[in-house]
Amino acid sequence: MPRALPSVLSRSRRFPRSRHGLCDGFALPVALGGSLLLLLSSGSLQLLALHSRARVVDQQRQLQLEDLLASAAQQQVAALATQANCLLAVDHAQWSAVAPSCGLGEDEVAAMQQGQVGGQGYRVVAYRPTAGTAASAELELQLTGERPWRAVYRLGLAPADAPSAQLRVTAVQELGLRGAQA
Amino acid sequence: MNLIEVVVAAALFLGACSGAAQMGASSAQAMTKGRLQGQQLELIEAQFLAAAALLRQVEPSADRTCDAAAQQLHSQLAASLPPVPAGVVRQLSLVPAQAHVQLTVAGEGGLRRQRWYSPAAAGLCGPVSPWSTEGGDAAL
Repeated sequence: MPRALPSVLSRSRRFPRSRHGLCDGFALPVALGGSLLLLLSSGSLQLLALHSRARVVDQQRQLQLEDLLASAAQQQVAALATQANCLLAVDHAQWSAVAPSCGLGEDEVAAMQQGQVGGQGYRVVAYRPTAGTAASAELELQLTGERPWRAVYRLGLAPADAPSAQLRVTAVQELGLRGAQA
Repeated sequence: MNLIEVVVAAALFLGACSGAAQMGASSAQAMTKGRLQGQQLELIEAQFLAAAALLRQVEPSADRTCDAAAQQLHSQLAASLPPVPAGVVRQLSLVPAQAHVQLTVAGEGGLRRQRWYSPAAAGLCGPVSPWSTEGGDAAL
């Protein structure tokens, strides 16, 4: 045992524990790199959360626009079906020409081309009955506010039972939003 | 490696850990909220799909006035729409002046949708004399 101690001491002298070796200055860069990595990963997670939230908000906004246009279509078609029935078989461009023969004045025709629903204005962009049998028609509406979105609807038409009318509306089908166009 | 370096590095790393934990928690909260809102939008959409399906099934009657048809549509929608799940509020109202039914469905977090249904647009009531006061559907 007394002979073993000097050999250990001599070995430790051969490989001294350096106070200024490779490990010096290592902790700060490692901590800095680790911190940066943590912050970057949590930042990207935050961006992902914000993106998914923005997507839900966009989806909700689009659904509300669809609702506005669908309500406008219901109102417009109801007005056409009940109060300007003779215009159902006529293209939108010819409404003014045909209206006098139905007993409708210029004001009534003008009122048929625009409206307001839920505090939002809209206008009729096009109304196209199917050529020939007139079994259906396409109605295109556009919002007139800050977001002028358009939507198209298909109307199912059938011969009216009442003698006072030519056609009656059987259904309104949504063909979808057409985006915002000038 | 001296003591000061170790202390600074530890403080830096702990600060970053704390910040990352806070950001992660708020991200998780926002994602959960977004997912819940997405689910609520689907539940709200189900109400409108059910209303549209009912409108296609209702038998038309041309001799009925639009006011009577709106009342009938209102009672049929009230009876046939699926029950609303927790957190979703549905309001179905009849607007006699304009002869239409208004369906409003709202969820948590400001989600709200509203649609009008006119019986005349579904062929549930017939034409009236031009610009008569009956029904007053236009209200344009």
